[in-house]
Amino acid sequence: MGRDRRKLPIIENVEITNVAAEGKAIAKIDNKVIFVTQVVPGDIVDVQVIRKRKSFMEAVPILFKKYSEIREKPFCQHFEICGGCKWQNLPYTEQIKYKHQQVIDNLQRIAKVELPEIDYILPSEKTTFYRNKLEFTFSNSRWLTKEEIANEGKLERNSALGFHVPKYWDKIVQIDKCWLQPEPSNKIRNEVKKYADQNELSYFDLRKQEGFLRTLIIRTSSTGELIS
Amino acid sequence: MYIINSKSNDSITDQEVLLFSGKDHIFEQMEELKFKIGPKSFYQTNSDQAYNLYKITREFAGLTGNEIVYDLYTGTGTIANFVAKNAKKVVGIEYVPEAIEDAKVNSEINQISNTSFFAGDLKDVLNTSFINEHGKPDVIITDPPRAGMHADVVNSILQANPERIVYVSCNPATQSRDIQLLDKAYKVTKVQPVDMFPHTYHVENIVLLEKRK
Repeated sequence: MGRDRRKLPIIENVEITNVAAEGKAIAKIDNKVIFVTQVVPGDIVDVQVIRKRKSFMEAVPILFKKYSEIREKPFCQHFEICGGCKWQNLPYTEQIKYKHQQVIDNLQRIAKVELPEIDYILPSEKTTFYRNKLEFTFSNSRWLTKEEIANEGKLERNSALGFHVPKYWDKIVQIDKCWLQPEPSNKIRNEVKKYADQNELSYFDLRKQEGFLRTLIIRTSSTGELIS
Repeated sequence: MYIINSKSNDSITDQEVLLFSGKDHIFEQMEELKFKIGPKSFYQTNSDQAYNLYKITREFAGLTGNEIVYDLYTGTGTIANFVAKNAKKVVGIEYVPEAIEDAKVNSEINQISNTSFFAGDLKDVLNTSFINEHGKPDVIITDPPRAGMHADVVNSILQANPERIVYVSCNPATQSRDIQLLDKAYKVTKVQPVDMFPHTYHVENIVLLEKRK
């Protein structure tokens, strides 16, 4: 990939105009579509093209010239490092607007059939703590944040109980609070980690394929019952 | 509960679950129905919104109590059991045998007697002899995985020739592809997107297709 990248251009002052499938956003330049990650509509960014095809390009932002006015401050401390809840930087009302539009776009472009009037998307009443099941991974290869690396010398024990870091199959981000599952999910996970650390139980090593603790699944139900 | 997994991957479907203490299952409730959930059971992860999704599905199915309903990709039979009281009978089909066992248990614990469940690959199961044996469906409800339906399954649905198809999808692209294949015989009459997963880009969509006159 690095070899090709030298030939691929940087495009300046790209205005992001819409949301595309799979969480990417799009911009249009000279009628050519660019799919960009980590941005929201309204952002103006300089992008590095990482893939070029006849009808479209893929790019990543390298410099934000202007942040979109619709951006919202993510509520989760693990946002961006963790692979989940990637749209926290968009207000919920915008999220569902784009989801609704995505359904219509697909029906018009792929199905190409006559359509009735389409009812507006039904939002989820709960936007946090709505899941009844989560699976956490134990790993002896904890993802270190930029801040931790900057404070060299203070690095703690290299183990984590949390979620996979996107694109790094063996790296796990330590989760201290997850906003997806109602309590006592966070309490259980943090207590399990404390117990494991106190008793020096080994965390799984994905590369060597060894270790005692591997995954933790917690399931809760609206009746108040839970299993793990 | 715990699993001693000595494999290189961490999927638990083929692993034995051992009970350390407490119960090995919980119940989820929807209206007067209870659904039993074990460590390996499939169940929609947003329970509140799953209830809304199934209510719309049931409404789109337009059941009066006289219909034979087929529920394709039935999973643990949640939709099948949820609509059973409004139908004459419901036939659920699903690839994963363990899920079908859960579906039967869910009928049993709710004293539902007009459902039947079959495990197998839909493109092989849903043929003329199956339909002759279990009755021609008036309504087909289908809730396939992200890849959508196999083209053979779409053809089997066309063969089965129901009055209505309720298509529940977690991937509007494959759903649209399949709707295109059904278009010659079925007209889209209702569309209702539903958000099951806030802060993600995933979207669920329910479409009602009615037979062209």
